[in-house]
Amino acid sequence: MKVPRQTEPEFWNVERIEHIRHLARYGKPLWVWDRAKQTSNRILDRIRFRAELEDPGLNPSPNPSADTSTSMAYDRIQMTTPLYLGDMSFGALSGIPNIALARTADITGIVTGTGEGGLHPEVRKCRRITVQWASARFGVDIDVLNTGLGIVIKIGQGAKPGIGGHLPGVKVTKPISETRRIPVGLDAISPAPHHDIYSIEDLGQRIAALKEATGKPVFVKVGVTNYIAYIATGVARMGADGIIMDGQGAGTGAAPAVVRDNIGLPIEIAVSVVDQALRREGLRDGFTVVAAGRVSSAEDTVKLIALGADVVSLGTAALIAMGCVMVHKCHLGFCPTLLTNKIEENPAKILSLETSTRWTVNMVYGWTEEMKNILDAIGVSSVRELVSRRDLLLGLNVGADELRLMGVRGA
Amino acid sequence: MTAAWWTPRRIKHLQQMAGAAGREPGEPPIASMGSTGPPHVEQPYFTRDRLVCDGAQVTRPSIDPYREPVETHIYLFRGRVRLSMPVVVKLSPEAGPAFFRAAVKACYCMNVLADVGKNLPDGLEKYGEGLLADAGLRGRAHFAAHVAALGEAAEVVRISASEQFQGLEDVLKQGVWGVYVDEDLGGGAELEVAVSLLDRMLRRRGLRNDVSVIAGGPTVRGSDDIYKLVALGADAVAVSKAVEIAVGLPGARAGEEVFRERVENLLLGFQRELKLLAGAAGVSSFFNSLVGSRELMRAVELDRAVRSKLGVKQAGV
Repeated sequence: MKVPRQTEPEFWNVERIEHIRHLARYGKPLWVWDRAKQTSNRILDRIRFRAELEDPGLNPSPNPSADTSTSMAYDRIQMTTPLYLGDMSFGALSGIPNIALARTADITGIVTGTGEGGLHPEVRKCRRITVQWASARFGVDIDVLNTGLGIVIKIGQGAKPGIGGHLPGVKVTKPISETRRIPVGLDAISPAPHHDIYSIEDLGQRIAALKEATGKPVFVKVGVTNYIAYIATGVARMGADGIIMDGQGAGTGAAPAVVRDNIGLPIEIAVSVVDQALRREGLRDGFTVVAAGRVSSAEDTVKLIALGADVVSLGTAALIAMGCVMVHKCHLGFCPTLLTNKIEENPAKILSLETSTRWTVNMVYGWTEEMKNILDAIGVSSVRELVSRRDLLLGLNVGADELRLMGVRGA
Repeated sequence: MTAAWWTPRRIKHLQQMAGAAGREPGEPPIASMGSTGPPHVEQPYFTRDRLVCDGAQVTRPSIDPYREPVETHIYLFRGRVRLSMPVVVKLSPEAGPAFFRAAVKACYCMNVLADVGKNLPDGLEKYGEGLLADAGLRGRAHFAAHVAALGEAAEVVRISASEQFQGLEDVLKQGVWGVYVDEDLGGGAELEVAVSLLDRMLRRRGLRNDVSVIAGGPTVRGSDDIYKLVALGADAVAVSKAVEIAVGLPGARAGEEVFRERVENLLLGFQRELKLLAGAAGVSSFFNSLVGSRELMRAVELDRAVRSKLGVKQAGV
């Protein structure tokens, strides 16, 4: 099916959507070098692998040899490929997508974050999930904390750093009201800060308490803001097992537009700056850096890892695999593709769990195949060896100050 | 013909807040999925489109404006005027008499200044304390004048948006209460550059605490522009075209009461959005913590020369 025409500027344009749909449908690569990057203007789009400039027309091989396996949290969580499916809550998504994402992680050997707002009973059965401990503590109890592979303390998200979660009243239906224990029909606005985390020391105490209670790895999710390097080193110093950094342009189910459009830095700057800062402080080994925000292709993934990330988080891309057409209507509760529509007791239409799971699983496979092709092309045999290989990159039309900060050479 | 920076996204946003469109007047519009804004998706029209505001993360708490106070009020003219938010509405008679009268009343109710320039229709004198007018008008308005025509009555001097401030030094010696960077007077510099340079010049001379800075004009598109200009050194920001667009002009055939309600909704929406932005950065008071606080912003892919004029650091530093 062709995607309808988009009339306003959009990062997730038709080229990107069709590429992800190809992966979701066939589970096979479409290209080696991301051709959609020509259509947008991120810094990441203007940073290229030297290998691409030498052979821009390279076609994907059916048997790429590179090893994409990696691990998180000081080797405690093994992964087949460095993908994390972003923390999207039950309530923001309409239930079936939550289950599909969680099952995808179990099937493919990656990790899925479950977001704020409690666990769907079917999601709880999945093993490779992380559970979220967010500012409103919706749906959190000790059983939930003990459910997954790890716990995510959500401080902020890329679409609205400094602002709490927001589930519009129209989407707070009876099932959601029961999971979150809140009244039907009222906006569920989580507090902006955690009222027991006002400093890095407070965070350290909460990390210790969660580890004491569950013995699980603890990750801290933050939006990328101006002081990201200090935040990341503080998070690492306080004993977290990893940081999930969500950059400018990341998706959300609902956020005030003025906040979404004016707060937050691009992830490509943050990843590099944070990686360098952690190394300077001797905190990098084993600590996991997860990069999120506008990760649209295998090439984005590989570049972010070369800039200093260990794992990359996909949110919007996973939704597109399940059919999202980017109409930006998640907050209204009538998603035309049934991904973010409000959860009713007797829904008239419902997404097929089997199909959505198959599509996201295929996307992960196809994405991984494209990553392996890129790794072969740049001559790196494994994802683990790729981390911080900024020397493989070249900046085209990127300012000298930005390149110096990111540790990337200009063309 | 509206200028290119009035994108459909901007127009819809303002009209929703004013209540000329949508069903939630006075509320900050909610959006979903990733941003489509500048600089990397929508093209940046102004330098300030490359400035990003801060969000407090773990190292300090953000403030939740739904539950905690964020004070948006500011003082002008050595404490003589207190505004509920750093906003001045600049009115033009071309927008029609009904809108003009409505806006003056709405500004009075919402406790922001209305800049009426040379025009003060009959019956509006009683709103004088909430007016900024060119010197010579009757009533108790605060008077503004151009540098060249500064009379005894003028409290505020209007200047163009430029990088040089010729003639201003003599005026400052006369003890004016405020300087008003008015884009409608031309000048050739971007508003943000002019504001930042003016603020720093006044600070260098030790005059900043005695002289208020107002700045604005037709390129101010919403509360994000207001916030950024305040952080660059303005005490209050003048909004003109944005208000007309928000209420549905040109073309809206509404009466004075409807216009008045829309302007009030818009101002309330601005205030709520300003609280969200400040709260996200952990700022609890505009006047005490935001005015001139460039450290709260970073520049994304902005030339070093411009960065140094603004006094804003590069993103990632």
